[in-house]
Amino acid sequence: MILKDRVAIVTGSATGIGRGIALKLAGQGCSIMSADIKDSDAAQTVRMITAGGGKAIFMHCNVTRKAEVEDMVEHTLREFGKVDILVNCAGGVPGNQGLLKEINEEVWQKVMDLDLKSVFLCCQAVVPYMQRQGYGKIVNISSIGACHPSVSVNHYHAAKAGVLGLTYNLAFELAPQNITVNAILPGPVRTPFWDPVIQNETDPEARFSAIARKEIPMQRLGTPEDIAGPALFLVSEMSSYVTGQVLFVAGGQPLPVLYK
Amino acid sequence: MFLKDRVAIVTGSAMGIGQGIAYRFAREGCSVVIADIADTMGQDTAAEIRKLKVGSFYSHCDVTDSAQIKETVRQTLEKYGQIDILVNNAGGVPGLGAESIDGVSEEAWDRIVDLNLKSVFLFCRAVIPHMRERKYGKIVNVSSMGAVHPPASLVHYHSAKAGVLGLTRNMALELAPLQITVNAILPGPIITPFWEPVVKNVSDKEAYFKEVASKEVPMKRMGTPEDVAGVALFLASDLSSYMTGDAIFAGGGLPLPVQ
Repeated sequence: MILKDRVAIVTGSATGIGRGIALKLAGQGCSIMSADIKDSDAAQTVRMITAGGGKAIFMHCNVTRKAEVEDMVEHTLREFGKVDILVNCAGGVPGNQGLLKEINEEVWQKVMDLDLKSVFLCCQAVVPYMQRQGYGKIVNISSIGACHPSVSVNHYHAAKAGVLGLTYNLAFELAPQNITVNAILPGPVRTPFWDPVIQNETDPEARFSAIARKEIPMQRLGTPEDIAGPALFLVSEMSSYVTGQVLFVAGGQPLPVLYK
Repeated sequence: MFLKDRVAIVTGSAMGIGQGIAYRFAREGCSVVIADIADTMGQDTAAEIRKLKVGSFYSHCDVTDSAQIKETVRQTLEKYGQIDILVNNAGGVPGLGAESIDGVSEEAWDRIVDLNLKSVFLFCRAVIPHMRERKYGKIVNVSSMGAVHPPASLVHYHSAKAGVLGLTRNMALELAPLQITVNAILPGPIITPFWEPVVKNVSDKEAYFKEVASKEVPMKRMGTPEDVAGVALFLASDLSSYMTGDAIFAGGGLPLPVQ
């Protein structure tokens, strides 16, 4: 168990990639604070962890609100005594429209808050404790679309590229204090994120395998488990000398598919 | 244990970074073939690894010689029946050589490019048919921070190491449909015998390394073989199941600048 006695906050861990990461870290002995707004799903994540003998708690937390984030961090410290790891996974595309002409200022702001400002707020709330203990591992979940968009979602991809800038800058600032800050750029991963995209598909499986064949060098879609492996790497001692790194976890993307 | 019952060939593993990788893999349950030209140290490393209750043997292998590579691969398959992981770590700049481009002879260029780039091509070519057959394989190429962010001028070495990144991406593209992943590591300043020519006239080596670290490394410390071995473990294990064609900097924050 490579994360024995560690404590992690994983935002957005009620479902999908965040849940996969929470389960993976818990499986290595890490105590988990599951911070999300989907209460019943987050409670399910906690049950999945505790059923396996792990430690986990849930707190309702809207990561775009500073006060809620601060409360959530306080609560983590009260329950577990410290925070070693922060995984910023909460995010998404409210409204699911991303063409330039479709985005009004209000939606733009909403996406910036949810996908970029949230990372800033969570880091700002957690870093002072990490500095005090002289140790910390921060992992930000960006998106491959930040550098290599396959559909047009301007606000979301702009925010996710912002996450990379924040990752580099924070890595630079915190490197001397033994706090590493890295990012993951997931490619297409089968999660509830895709539900709005496939809601009108008669055969979603056919749609997914067509995407995999046409767009992904490894010819398959990713799973939350595929993203959880790199997250485990970045929160463990395996990445002791790695900071300011951005990992593509996308079945070979942004490489193209080799046609034969 | 992240590599239970796996079999790895690690080139250049008699000392330094390669040795650190070999030990790390062994502790995760992996049998490790030590392929190197430093016979005594290579045999000692294999003997140490066998104490961890996993398989290991030393195979003398000049990685610029395709016949010797073929023989190492043959011995591995004969002994263990499979190769899951190949770490191309052998390389270096024997004698460090000239620092400015006009001082690099054609002969030195060829020698360094053969050792650091052609060697990776040759070893992959020898192992891939086997991985292709099994539809499984993890290849990790050890490049260098200097390939993209040179801290000093070593024109032949850094060119070869940048070539390793091109080879990594192209092989990743080709082998992705077979679930064979190919990734690279770019180590920053790691304390290994690699530095001996640089520090041979330095009286207080520890102070020298501390100075280098505080001036050049964002994390303000030199790296260890163990630091690189963690990254290699990630890329050689199924934790990196959905990653191929990527390159990971293991340089304490480099190429970011120092505060």
